[in-house]
Amino acid sequence: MTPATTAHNRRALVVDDSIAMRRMLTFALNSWGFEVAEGGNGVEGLQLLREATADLIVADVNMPEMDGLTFVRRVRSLPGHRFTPVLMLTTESTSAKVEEGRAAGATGWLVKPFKPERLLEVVRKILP
Amino acid sequence: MEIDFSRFRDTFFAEAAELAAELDRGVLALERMGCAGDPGLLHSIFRAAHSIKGNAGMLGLDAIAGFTHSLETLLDRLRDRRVALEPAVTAALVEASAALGQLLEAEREAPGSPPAEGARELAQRLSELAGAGGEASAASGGLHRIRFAPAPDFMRNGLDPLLFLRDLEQAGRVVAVRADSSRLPALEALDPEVCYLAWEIEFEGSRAGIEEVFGLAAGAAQIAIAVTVGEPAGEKFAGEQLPGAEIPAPAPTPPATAAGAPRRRSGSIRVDTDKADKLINLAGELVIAQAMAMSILDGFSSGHVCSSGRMEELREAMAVLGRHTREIQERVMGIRMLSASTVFGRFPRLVRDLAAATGKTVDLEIDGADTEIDRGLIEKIADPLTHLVRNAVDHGIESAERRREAGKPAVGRVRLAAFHRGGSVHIEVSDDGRGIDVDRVKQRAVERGMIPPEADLSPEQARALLFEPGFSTAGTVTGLSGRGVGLDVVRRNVEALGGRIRVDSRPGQGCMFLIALPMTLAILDGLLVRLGGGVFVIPLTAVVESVQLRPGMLVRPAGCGLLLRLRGEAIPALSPGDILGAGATEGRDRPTANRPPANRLAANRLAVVVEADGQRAALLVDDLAGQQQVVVKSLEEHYGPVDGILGATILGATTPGNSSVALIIDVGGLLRMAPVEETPPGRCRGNAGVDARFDACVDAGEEAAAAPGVASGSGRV
Repeated sequence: MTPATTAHNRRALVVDDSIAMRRMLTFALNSWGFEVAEGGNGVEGLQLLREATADLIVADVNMPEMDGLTFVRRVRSLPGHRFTPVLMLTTESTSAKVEEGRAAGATGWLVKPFKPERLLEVVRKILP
Repeated sequence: MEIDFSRFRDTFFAEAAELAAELDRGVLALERMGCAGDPGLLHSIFRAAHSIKGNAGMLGLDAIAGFTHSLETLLDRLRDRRVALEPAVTAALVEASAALGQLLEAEREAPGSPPAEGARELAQRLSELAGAGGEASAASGGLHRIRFAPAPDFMRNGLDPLLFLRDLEQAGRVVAVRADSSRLPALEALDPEVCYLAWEIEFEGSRAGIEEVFGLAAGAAQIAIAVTVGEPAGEKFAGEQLPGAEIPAPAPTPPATAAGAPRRRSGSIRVDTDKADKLINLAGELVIAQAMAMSILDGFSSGHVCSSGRMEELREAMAVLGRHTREIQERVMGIRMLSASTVFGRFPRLVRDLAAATGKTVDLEIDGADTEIDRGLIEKIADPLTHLVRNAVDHGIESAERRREAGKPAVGRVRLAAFHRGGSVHIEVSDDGRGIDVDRVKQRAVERGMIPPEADLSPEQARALLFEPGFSTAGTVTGLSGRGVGLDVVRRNVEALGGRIRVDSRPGQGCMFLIALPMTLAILDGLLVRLGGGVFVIPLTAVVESVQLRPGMLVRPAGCGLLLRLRGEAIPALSPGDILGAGATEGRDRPTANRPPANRLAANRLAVVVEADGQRAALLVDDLAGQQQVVVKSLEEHYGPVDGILGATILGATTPGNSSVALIIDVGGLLRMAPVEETPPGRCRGNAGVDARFDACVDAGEEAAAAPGVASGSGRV
């Protein structure tokens, strides 16, 4: 319950179409020392990645404009992001879906709803 | 470091309300389309439900999450065409969308309140509809919450918990799995062969399927199954827990507000990034303009000759500064603006429901949904508009049969339109129904003793009677003209916002209500008047006209208060003492003898005729001091509410070097407390049909002598 704040000077990108969700994610990541940029969909997310790099990407699967899976595929094709940890958020945990995410290039998979501690746990696991 | 998401409740509810509205619009559109549907539309509805569900889950709002889950599942099946868009399905969606709105509202008002009984049944029905089209395993299922707590010797008996979880995935849809590790001991004490873990699984599928999966584990584990839809989590397992195995507490909810506590409206404003960016740019420009002006000033003080050229430069710099300041002001006001669609959005459903309830067919036409309206107004105008729209459908539009007889299209039309005109926002609610029967309105007014039988009213005056308090109660009017139910309340609400309402109608062709509202609540157009040595502001929306007093215009008939005689009308007049002293003394208790005679009052050279709550009065003032926009500062914040005073403002922009505080008169409040009431009701009050009675008053009273040298004539401000 008392995670070490190991993420100083690290940047995270949060991509979710829901403002409430972005606020929650940013709040949690901030409090663990991440500097956070927010995008409302995949297109915005990619734009933000072109402006500044990120050490961690947290993205929702279900988004308008560009969904999360397409977004991850595009992220992987961007220079320098081949291994950037990408955590996908979804409400679905079927193995088929998880496999689809992995194939698209996701590093981790977290099912909503989750508690903040769980988010940190997973984030720590996928950070290099 | 404990992280608590409950602080995002307000954000969640603000967003969920938008999503729910979007969902509702979509669902209603689906209903109109019928079986055809539209994949894009279905997808956007699905996403709205999906977002609400996900976020509600994060905040531990399980009732909402559970309900939206069943809705989402059905939408998902519709999207995949596994379930056909049949009328029964659309009907359920329409119902569910309304129920979702109520669930959200209920949870926001009273956190943790149990969901309505109907919501659970509805969720069940949604699940059944979703199951009907396919997936035998999920059929008749719904959402279950399973607690799977293997006994400590589970694994020693050759069983593997993981296999059960995998099997469960084959039997239906596993929505979420949470491991309960609370029984896990410290590492030194851990026995690798003992099963310490328990799981909580949200599972969508049939109960039979679950029982089949866990059949093998029976006796070796504690298994609890509960249908969770619409139920708050955490309750149903009580009493079924294994000793030592605690169910994780539901996500923290903020301290519950007591039932009946005042509504908590979100205090945050969401602003378009564009709007914010422009403001930031302007703020930058402002700094530059200020620096320019400053450098010119520095030039003056450092001993340069104060040439006319430099004065001109300074004047220019100040003009730039002024322009930017005004633009910033406008744009900052713009932040308070919302599009009319935020309030109009609810009406398609209302009209649809009302039409269905009354057996009519009604089309709602919406115009100007993108018109921007002040946030504060939007919240408060919703009720009056609902009232008017309800009236239009309920009473204005005739039955299809009647309409055909009258040679009109069978489908009635109700129009809701918003537009900017001048400095105000106009909202129109109109219908093409039967219109207002003026004769019957008059008849009713006579019956109620509101006008004398011989009163000769124009149709406009007669229609204005509809807004009078007590003109009608529900039931009496429905059979009469179908109008007037609570219209006095509508008018009061509109006027409380500084707006005005009027009605127009043509028999057989329909009826139109037009509401004019100020553009914003924070700024108002005011008429500045001098009164007893000070300057007061009268909101321009309340001003009818200003009149220069001529001999004989002010009269005080015996038994009546002071009256202004204007074009055959007698208007109650308030002297400065009445206005300024209104707050200090209870007007009606003052002895008549203490009041100055009418001829002394005529020394006040001007009368401003104002109107509020359908009541007119003339305020006698010393002088007019101009007309300007003023920023309303609330007195309540710093001082406390004052009857008859709306607030204060700082004058100065137009009176250089003389910025002073002026009070803004709340005309409605002033009239309510002023001694106008002394006038015997029915004799000298009001303006409709007043002529005959006016003459009687004048005969009995004294004529006022006008102050010499006052030019005659009157004019509108």
